[in-house]
Amino acid sequence: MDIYGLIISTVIFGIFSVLTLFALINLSSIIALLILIGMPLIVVLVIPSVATSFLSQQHIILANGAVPINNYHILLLIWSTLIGIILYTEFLTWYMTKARRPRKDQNVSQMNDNIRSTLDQVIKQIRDSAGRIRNR
Amino acid sequence: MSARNVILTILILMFLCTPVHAPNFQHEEIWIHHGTFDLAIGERAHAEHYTVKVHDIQTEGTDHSASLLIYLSKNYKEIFFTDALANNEHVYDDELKIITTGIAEGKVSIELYTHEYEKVWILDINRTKLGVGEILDITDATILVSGIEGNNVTLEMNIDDLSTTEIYTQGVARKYSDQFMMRIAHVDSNTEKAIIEIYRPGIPELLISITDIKDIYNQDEDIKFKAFVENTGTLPVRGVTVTASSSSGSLDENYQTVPIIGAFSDLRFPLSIVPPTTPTGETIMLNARVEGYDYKGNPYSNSTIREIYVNPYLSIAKTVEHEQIALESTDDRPGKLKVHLTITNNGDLDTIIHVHDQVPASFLHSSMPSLDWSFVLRAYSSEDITYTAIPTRAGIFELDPAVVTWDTSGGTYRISSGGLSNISVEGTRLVVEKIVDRDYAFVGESIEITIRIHNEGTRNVNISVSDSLPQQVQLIEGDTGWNGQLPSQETIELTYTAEVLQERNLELPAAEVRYKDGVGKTGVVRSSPLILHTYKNIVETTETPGDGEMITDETSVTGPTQWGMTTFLISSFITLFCVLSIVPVTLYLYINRIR
Repeated sequence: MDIYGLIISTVIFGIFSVLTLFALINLSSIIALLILIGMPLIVVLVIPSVATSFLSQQHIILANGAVPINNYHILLLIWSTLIGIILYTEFLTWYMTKARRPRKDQNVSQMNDNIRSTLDQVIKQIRDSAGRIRNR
Repeated sequence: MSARNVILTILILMFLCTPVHAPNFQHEEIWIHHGTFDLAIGERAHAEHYTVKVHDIQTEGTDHSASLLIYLSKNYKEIFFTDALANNEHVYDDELKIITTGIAEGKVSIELYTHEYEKVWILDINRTKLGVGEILDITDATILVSGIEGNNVTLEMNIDDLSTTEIYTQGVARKYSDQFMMRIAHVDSNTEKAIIEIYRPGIPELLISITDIKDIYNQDEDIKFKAFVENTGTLPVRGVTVTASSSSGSLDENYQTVPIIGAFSDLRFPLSIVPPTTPTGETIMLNARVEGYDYKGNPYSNSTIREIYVNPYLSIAKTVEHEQIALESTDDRPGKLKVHLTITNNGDLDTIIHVHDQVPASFLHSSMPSLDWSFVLRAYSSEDITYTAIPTRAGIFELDPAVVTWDTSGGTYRISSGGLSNISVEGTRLVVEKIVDRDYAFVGESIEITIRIHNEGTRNVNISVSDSLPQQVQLIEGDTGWNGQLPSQETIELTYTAEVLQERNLELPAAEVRYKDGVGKTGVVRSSPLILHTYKNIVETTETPGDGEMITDETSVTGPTQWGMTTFLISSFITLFCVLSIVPVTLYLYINRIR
């Protein structure tokens, strides 16, 4: 294991994660998502060889050599984690905003309509019954 | 020969045969301690031919006194009065001294001494020859020879910080303290040299060791041994007692005594132990101690410890009739292994035992379904079990010990038979292995293939090894074939290196070994084929990077292109985004529907 490579990778991915979370908290979710996808893409497009070398740098090998773990895997792991955080932050924000809206008048009017229609049906049944008695 | 010569010869012989007597200056009139005794009324103590008996004890307030009787060779001689104060010492006939050390609780404590003339002074250092003006400097004395005239020597001495000047004549010995005596052995007036001897009181020294003993005993045999006591000192030691003890088992006699062991003498005290009945075997610590005292009553002692092991009361012995057998019976080698088990119960109880034995996996014991037996083994009896096993392949095999288990005293115990020599099954047997140094390889990598041939049989063989490689692999170094002799029980390894040329799972074919042994038997043995997974290298570099080493040479990138990498990252991101969105989107839709 190259300990210096591991330290450099940890620092780079740490800065990347902190930058994304900063954008999520202080700017917006969309900007955080754009940083998340944009930064690696820019690096790959600008300095492809360095980016490829960095991403293919291997840290450990699992399962007797069958599963080599390199920076690709770490990038995907960070992506999945931060996308999850952004998505759920957005969802919870929507849900809590929705739950806080006042709905009291709407409920009362709906209840009045229900009572009114019920009373109308009861009066109609009483009239029908009275008509039948009168016809006898 | 004339009469004169005969007389002269006789005189010379008489002179040579005259017994040599030690100079009597080394001897002294001493009182020899015979022990300390606590005697009640009527009890006796002995010192050589004398016997002392307590006749009466009188008490007046806090004062006690006693009347003691003295016997010589069992004949009454006198009675005397004693107490622990002014009248505490009594001497009879200048031969027996009785010192009363105390009278209390109806007992008289006395010490007995007898009068002897014994050698006490022992030469301390080698004789020293000194001339006039020379000094002998020893620990507690400084002796200067200040003058020699004829047989007289003038000495200036400082002994124990006391200075004195003495004139010695040849042969004179003088005692200066209880610890120091000096003698002028010889004065040579011609050379003006005097030979000085320093004498000091001798001391006894007791040593003890346990001899005539084994390390391991069976439960049914008595442990007999001897306590070997030596007096390596220069004075006799008296009242010698030997006491023995053991951590387990019972000693027949643990206390023995002798009146005296002379200087530079030894004595053996026979002792024995009945070993304990133990189901698991037991280590016993034997302790022997010797005590004695010199003529002044100063005590001397020594002790020793010896460890022995007592086998369990059940034992099992495993023997084989022939240690060399053959796959097919011959005149001198049978074709079967015959095993005898003898189980012995030395305990005093009938015991239900379970016997288990095993033979090497390549042996068949068809005569019985399993090598397990259970039965009652009577007390003080033994049982024999015999079975046969047939070998199925040649080689040298190690026999495992047979095991007996039984329950007693709330526990389960287990013993096994001792080690056996190996069983040799005559014949030829080769084991061929083919080994590759990795599970997978990349195209262009070198792999190391090893063919290991072990001759497990008992005969030397001539072998011919041949191996082949598939087309996808190219030999780089080494040979795939070998011819030569392989001795019995030896192993050879044939190693070669090859390069992987193509990405394809490779089947490395079996290596083949043809052999011919000493009796002309031929055969072919093959290894198992191997599968090697091969992969194409994604990144090819001008130099092979180490683990985790970053590749910085841009021209070496032949893997995914720049756009390929971009596409991969975008697609990965979208995929992750979609997968992770499933749950929140579902929840969003569900919540909106119920509202």
